[in-house]
Amino acid sequence: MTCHEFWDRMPELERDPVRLEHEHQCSSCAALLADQRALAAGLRRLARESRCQSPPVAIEAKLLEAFRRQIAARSGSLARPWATGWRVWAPATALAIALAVYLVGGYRPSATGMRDLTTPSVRSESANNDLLALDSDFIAAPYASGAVPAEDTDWVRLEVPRSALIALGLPVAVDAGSGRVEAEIALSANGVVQGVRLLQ
Amino acid sequence: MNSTPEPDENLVVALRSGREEAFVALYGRRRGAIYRFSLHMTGSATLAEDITQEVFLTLIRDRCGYDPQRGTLAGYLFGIARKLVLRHLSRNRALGDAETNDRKTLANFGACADPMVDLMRQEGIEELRRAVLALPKRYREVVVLCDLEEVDYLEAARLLNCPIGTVRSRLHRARALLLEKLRHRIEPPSRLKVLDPARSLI
Ligand SMILES: [Zn+2]
Repeated sequence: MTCHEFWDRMPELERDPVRLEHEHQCSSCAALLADQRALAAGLRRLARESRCQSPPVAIEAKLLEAFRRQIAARSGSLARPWATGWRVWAPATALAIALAVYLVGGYRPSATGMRDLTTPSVRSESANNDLLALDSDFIAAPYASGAVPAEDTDWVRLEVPRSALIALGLPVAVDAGSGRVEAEIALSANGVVQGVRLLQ
Repeated sequence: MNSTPEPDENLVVALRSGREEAFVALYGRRRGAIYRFSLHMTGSATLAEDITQEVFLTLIRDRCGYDPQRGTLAGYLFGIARKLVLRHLSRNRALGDAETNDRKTLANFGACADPMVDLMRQEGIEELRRAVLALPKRYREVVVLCDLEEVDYLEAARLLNCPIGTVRSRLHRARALLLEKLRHRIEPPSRLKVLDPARSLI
């Protein structure tokens, strides 16, 4: 058996007599095999030592809260966003305004269509300076359940008035407040606005 | 009394019908693997927490997209975690690795309370953890999935969206790279002996 044949033969077959014979005769193969065994044992130990690692309890509490909110919203018993204080209803209203703009004809279909949500956003080279400080990725509505949209979120591309962004609390220059910004609005299955992603 | 654990698929159905205990059971069952995968991939406990939270938030959403016909729940959750990890890694490539700046990370690794684990702790394991973290991500993810989380090759191939042969070859290459890294980091003659002198099966 050559060294090549030794490594070609199923390494799982530890007790294969032909392999064993080569291992006894060839010191270089034997040394490499010993290293591989040590590595495998080390990986098993690392796995064992890591097994007690788990996220903090606070995460479970947050998730449970989100779960209850979702169930309550589904059954209609959740307080409506406009009844839960200005921090929630102001951005929600802003997004609703943005949606209204879309509904009355502000929507301009994009030539490229909806972007693949798994790829990071691409900033336009000609982005306005006042928006450069922004991360153009997803910005969740305060009442939405997650910081990133679900994979099957419905996206609507439209132009959002700057005033709506300012109402959202985004750092858009006030003196440039008369224009519009292209954005994608994330809609959940039941049509609730989950957040916005700026495209400029 | 029935001691057979409820299959994940049944728990997902119960979760979708609003049963909180189903979510608690699923979370308890899967959180560790998702958290550890994220931790081994990013080297950051803070990121691993965020990713774990986001993965399970996705699960509880009305239209989470999980379909038992297309694979296991574990595979689905790993898939989401992987997307979030890769998104983070690609964003931070230019900024340098987050793990080097995350003080929480090293403290978290090694926080096990098991005295047996403490007895077995050696410098070599920490070297190995760093070596895994330093692997290119396509090799790192197969090592973390197959070697550390014991995901089988078929499941790994499904969630990495590649043939099973690719999983095998990446794993082979990843182990070779790990050996190389460890040889460079650990002074001879002790070399790999610091990991484990046991001559057990690969
Ligand atoms: Zn040989």
